[in-house]
Amino acid sequence: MTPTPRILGWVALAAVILLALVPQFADRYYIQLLTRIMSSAIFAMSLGLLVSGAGLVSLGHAMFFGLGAYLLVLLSPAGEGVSIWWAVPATMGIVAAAALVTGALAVRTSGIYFIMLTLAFGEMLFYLFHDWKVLGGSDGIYVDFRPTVTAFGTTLLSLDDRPTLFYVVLGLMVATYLAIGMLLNAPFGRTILGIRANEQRMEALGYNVYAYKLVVFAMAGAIAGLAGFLYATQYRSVNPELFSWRESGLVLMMVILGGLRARLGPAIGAFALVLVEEALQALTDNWLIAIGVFVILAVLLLPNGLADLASHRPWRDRKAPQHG
Amino acid sequence: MADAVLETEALTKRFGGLVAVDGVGLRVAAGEVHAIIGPNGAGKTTLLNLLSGALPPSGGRVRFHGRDVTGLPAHRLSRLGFGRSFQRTNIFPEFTVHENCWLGAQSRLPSSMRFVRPAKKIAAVAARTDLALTMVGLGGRADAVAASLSHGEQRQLELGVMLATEPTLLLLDEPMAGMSAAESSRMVDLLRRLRRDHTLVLIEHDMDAVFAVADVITVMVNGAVLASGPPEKIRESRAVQDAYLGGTEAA
Amino acid sequence: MDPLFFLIQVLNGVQYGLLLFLIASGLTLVFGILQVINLAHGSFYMIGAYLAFWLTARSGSLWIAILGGLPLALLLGFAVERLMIRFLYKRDHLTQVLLTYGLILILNEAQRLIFGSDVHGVPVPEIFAGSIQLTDTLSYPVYRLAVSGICLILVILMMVVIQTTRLGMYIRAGSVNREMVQLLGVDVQRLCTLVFAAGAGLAAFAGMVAAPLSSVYPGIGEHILIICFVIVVIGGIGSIKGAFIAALLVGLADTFGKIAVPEFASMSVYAVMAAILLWRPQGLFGRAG
Repeated sequence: MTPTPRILGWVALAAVILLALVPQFADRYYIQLLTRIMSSAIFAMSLGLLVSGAGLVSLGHAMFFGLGAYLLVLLSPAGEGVSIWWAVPATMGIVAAAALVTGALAVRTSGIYFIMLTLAFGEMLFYLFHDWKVLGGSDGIYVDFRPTVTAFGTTLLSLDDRPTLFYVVLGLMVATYLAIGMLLNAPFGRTILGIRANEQRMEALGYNVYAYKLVVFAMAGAIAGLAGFLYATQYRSVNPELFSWRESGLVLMMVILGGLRARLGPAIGAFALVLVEEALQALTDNWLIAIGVFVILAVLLLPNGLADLASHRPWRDRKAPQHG
Repeated sequence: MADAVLETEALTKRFGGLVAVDGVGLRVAAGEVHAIIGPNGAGKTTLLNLLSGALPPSGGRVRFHGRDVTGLPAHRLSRLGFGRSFQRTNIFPEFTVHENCWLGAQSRLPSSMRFVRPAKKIAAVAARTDLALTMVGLGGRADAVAASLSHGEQRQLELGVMLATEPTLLLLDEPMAGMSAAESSRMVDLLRRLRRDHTLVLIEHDMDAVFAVADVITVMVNGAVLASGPPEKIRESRAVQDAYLGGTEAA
Repeated sequence: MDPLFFLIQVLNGVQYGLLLFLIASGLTLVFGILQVINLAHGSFYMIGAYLAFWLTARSGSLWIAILGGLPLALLLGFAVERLMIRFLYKRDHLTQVLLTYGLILILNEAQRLIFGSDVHGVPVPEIFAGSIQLTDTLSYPVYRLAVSGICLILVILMMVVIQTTRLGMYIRAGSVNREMVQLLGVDVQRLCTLVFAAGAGLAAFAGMVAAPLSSVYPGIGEHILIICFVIVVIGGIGSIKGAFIAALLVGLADTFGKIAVPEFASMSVYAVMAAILLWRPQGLFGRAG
């Protein structure tokens, strides 16, 4: 029997509560791992917005993750942490602007062209950060201090404390999920879902398809930038590999494995993929072969992803039968 | 004589060496039902694509209420009041009937770049959606998934999605394609109701329907206008008989 | 710029471009005819390079390595098409991307298992060893000229096949309209297998002849893959002519980029791509829409 999306919602809520309990009993390693997975989940949700929201399959989404990560380092002043109050909006704004520039070209195309163009732009940024010594070159850069969260001169939260950072990332992951849900229920969301379903008809109905695609591309970029910012906050170091197309492929895998039809899919995919990866790494050095086989089998056997629990339909105005 | 709603001047579309639409001049008066007929490959759908902005013309002009709209993209024309329906049903098959019309109705918001408030709370859009559903007689099927509708119902929905945008000029590409006799006659009734406050340009192969509703008929052959005039004139025209009407009956 | 130095750079650029064309032509035909986006195409180049390394070390001759390696690569291309790519024809691009991405992971890891992570060199064949002395300080390696020559012969051969033979006609027609070829009564399935295997073979061949020029190292396939994507995008999907011009353009842009803006050499290719797409979003010879 297929569980309904409502049950999936309860499962998600239970999972969040369980996650919130983790720092109470788990050791450092698991807190670290889960923090990383949660920023990956934010990253995957941003790509999910693009792929299952607007039907735009990007193979260069890591460029925005990488940019967000580098921006934390570049915005941090020497000798102290940057204030999160302006660094996060600035990062998301700059990444959104970068997405607007690349998107202006990429979004004009579709299908295979869009995939290859996003891949090419991602690679272009990879080389920019890889070859340019000012940006640290192939070794990347370190940042000495994590961002600060202060108000009226007192420190509210210390991100150096692992559980605190864990809770911040957990909060942002939930917030991202809710924000994307809000977006998809608003007129904007219905518009992009319509574009995904039938672009030509949307154009004929008076929607400026190009503008909507560009805006959703920028939004997805900004959210990926936030995820990158969190990643860099956790590890205090960045390197050009963050931009690499392998990362873009990996996050695309999370989105697809999680399933394109459920809003929760990308997050599920992120947890599933990273945990499988961890388990395999513990077993064998050549775990990438296993991941490759896992992906191919998943694609061939589960064409609709792991979380194919929700219906085809993108939103619900009324209680509709599954198949009328 | 009523003002022209839509006028074209030497409208031309070339695909490489092929001239699909060849110097077409068209004048559609307000409140008129203007049918375009012609054999397959005459360039009728291409002409409709030029009028609706789906394709940019290679030459010529299009005017809407006297304003030059040549080369404007489809979404701009839609906002001026152009409504377009397609020959091959062009709906959102995975969405319900209601959701299909919703997208038409929502397009009349000044902008859909609205990110926070749930769409379903916008009463004006909901009202427009229900109105369009009622107009095409799909009020009782609102919750059905579009792909599950019968062919005739899908054709009705095709019109409903368009009507939800509250257009003033309707460009209809074979609204009766593939319909049964009963469905066709219902569609003719609908077209008669629509003509009260819309201007209609339609392509149609069903000659009975065309002669029943059209005020003006334009006959196209090989991309060019062969004849244009009221139905009785077209029926009597020798050239049209030879080029087209006779051929259809023989076929 | 010294004219002789300039000439050498042009020769380098053209040689690189011709080599890239061998790889990109297969990619663009697979897009055009099979309508499959194959990320693993670069892996065939990688396999070619490693086959050249392995078989040359065994036999002592690059020529024997090519003679032995090429059939292996063709066979592998054939097998991959039959066992995997075939299932992707009716699937969306997303699935194609994912499955071929998985394939890259497997092939790369297999490479690491067998050959390790070291960088390997392949000796230049003896008859083409040495350089042509142009001035006291400038010389040009004979092998580079030989590679250009070999590639040029292959390009001409390919053009002749595509322009004059019946098979070529099907390929040309197939890249414009696949259904039409089906109507002509051609076994499209076999055509697809053939095109895919030939593309794999060409990519592997390119990897073999390039091995003595640019050592053999892990990840060699992905770099070339993305450059070839750029070429396909610039040239227009499915267009052999477009791929040819774009390959030369990219080869020259890369070579001269290294001289003009050494720090951003790798970016010059992408800059060319962005400029061309601003002007023609569908690529030089792509169909609009």
